[in-house]
Amino acid sequence: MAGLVFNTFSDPYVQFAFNLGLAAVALTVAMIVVIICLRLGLRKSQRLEKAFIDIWRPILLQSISSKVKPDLPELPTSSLVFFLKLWIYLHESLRGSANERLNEVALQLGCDEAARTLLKKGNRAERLLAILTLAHLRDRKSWDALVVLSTRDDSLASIHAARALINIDPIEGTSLLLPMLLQRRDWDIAQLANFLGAADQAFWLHLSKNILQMDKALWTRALQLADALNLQLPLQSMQYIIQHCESTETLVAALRTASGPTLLPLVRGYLSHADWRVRVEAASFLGRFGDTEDAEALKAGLEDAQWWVRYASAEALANMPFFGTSQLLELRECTHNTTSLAMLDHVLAERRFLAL
Amino acid sequence: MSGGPTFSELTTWFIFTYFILLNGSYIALNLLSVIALQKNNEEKLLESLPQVFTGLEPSISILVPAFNEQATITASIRSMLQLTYSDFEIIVINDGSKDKTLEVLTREFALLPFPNALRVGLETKPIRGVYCSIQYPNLRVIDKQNGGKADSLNAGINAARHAVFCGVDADSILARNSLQLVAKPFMKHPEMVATGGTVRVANGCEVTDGSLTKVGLPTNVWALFQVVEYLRAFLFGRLGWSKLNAMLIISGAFGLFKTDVVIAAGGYRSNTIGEDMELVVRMHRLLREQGTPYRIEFVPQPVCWTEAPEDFKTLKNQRIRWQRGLSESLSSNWGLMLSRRGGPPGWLAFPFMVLFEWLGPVVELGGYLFMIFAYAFGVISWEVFAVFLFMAIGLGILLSVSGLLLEEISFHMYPKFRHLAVLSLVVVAENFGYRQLNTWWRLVGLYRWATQRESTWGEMKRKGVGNSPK
Repeated sequence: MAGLVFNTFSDPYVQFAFNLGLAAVALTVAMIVVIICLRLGLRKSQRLEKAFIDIWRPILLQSISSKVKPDLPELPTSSLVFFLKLWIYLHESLRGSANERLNEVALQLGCDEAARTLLKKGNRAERLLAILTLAHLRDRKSWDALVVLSTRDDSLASIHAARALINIDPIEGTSLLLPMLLQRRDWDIAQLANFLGAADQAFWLHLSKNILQMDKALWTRALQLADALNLQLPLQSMQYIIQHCESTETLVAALRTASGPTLLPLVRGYLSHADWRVRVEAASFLGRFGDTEDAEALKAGLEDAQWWVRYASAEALANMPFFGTSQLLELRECTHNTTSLAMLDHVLAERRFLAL
Repeated sequence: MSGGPTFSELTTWFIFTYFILLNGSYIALNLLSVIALQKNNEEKLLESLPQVFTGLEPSISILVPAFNEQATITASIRSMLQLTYSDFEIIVINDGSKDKTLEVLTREFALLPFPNALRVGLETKPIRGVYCSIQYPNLRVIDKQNGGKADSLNAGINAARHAVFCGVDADSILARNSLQLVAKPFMKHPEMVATGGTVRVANGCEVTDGSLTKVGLPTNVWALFQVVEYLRAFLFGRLGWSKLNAMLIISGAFGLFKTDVVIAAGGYRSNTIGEDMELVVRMHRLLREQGTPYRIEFVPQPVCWTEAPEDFKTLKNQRIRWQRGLSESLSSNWGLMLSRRGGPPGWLAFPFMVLFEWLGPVVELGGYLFMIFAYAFGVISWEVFAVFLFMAIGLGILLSVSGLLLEEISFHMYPKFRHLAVLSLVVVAENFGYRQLNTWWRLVGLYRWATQRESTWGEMKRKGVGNSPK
């Protein structure tokens, strides 16, 4: 029982508690020192960066607007990261010939070589910086290293490596990356759509050629990307996907991407699909491409149990080129179902408010 | 001495073990947060670059429940209309305000009656009318009978046009890119059902026309303590749990939810105090029961600033209500606790909440009382008593400082050295009285929940942080 006596300071358990308290105090002091050091470091770095930007921003802006090759000061190695940050920011903010001018400046300063070194030896933040730099420079020499990086688990580094590869060679890049573009769910799809915007034709080419051969599980993402990039896949492919897809998500994405009246007979059947998301997309499709016969089906959609389907049906009716506001008002007059009536009023009011 | 340990020895052991486990768990969460924030730091460069919208971002309905907000509502809504996001609508729900909230909104935003087709998915108090702005077609106002915040949010959900909604307090000050940041996880993971962001204390900051223009610290001591609490709660509490997909709370001040998932879960419960936490715990429970893959994620970037109470009484009432809300959220979703399909929320977060957040006040205050009595009756020596206090307070300070450290390695929102010095003092000072006081308030909340004493949100005394540089 001696071990459980808590009366004296010499008891080992009390000693343990005391030591724990001491450790907590020591760690607290250490943390406060770290906080102060971090703040001092941050202040210094911010000061240096500001001084750097004050000098280099006008130089870079001048180099963009001037037709003469600018006389550039030497770029100290210690300022490389500041330069690349500023250079990338300008690159992402500008378009067209300005980007080419920025590339000329970077090459003149040897940033391609420096970025390759950072890619090899830098920490994660520096590697990201290097990837973005090489992407903008379309640096062919980094191709192999970027291919390796694009396969890594690190979502951000790999997606930007993929972007760099697509920038360097849109055709080869999209061909090489197509499976990963569709498989890697950790790659932000909006970001992908943004990158692929510069290589949309190459992407369309590979996607159109391969979509029916690929795993059906990849169709959803492929269709979402095609939709974001406003790409139209071949009609036969779309027909096949709509008929043979195995998940509701794919069907929803397919109906959203589908275009053209040829698909009408196929899509009409989905107005009575069990999943309301499919019914919404089918209604929207009919609104875009449907004919007078479809207007009747959409009127039935106004009574759907699901709000979103009623809304999509009313919107679709209002979008039909031959079904203007006056027809909607007529329809309203002869509608007795209260939920349909409410939705028609809603959509009519939306249009009225937009017109104000 | 007899062969077995005495009651006092066992109790002392229990208290020691509890304190060590409690602080150990927090330190583990802290480590998870350090890793996440470190990664986040490395990615800062990308955040600072100009953002492009592609149309794949989910459209968002921002729901703003408002009760007697005539003084601040215009600035809040104008600031929300400035948010940078591809497609969003704002739905203000006037919850039977007794002041001129509706009149102010009608005048400032040129509202006209709008025949909104409402869903009947969630039951709410009767709607008196819906209005739409002719200046901003993406702004609508629902005027309804008073039913509380949860009821208002449900009315907003019934009117929401978009697949994702964002619940926002009317007095919340949002960062311009808040929607963009908090919607990002929805684009990475199709199974995302909810996300929340970091909420900070707005007291002491400069706010102009509903937008935060300068970060500062409050001079009021109660608000200062809360600055440190918010750092701790968001930076290592929620971020740590989020890494395990086990976050049980998304602040009512700012959170994104999938509309259909919330409707299927039954919406917000209007008979509970902590409706924000209750909804998230219920979503975990139901989705786990159904075996539906889902994710709930936390975004560490500060996206929302809120006014903290600056007087003793309001703060006390708020903390009592929070504890009641916690109790209601846990007790009404007990099925999640160690359930077969519970996963990290059921096997880690829920038991943690029960042991350390729900029953914590009983053990913590009981521990302090026991030690005082044990010392008074000579069961333990003064050295042991002092060692207990030294350990408990030392670990408390360590945790508080670690919150400050996380802030410094990640966002360093408080720009001046003076801010750091003040916060360093506060993290130490809060452990001498303020935390114990909080524990007491939480105990009162627990008692009120157990005895089902009536408690409502009551009135928050606002000093106001808008247009008044401090």
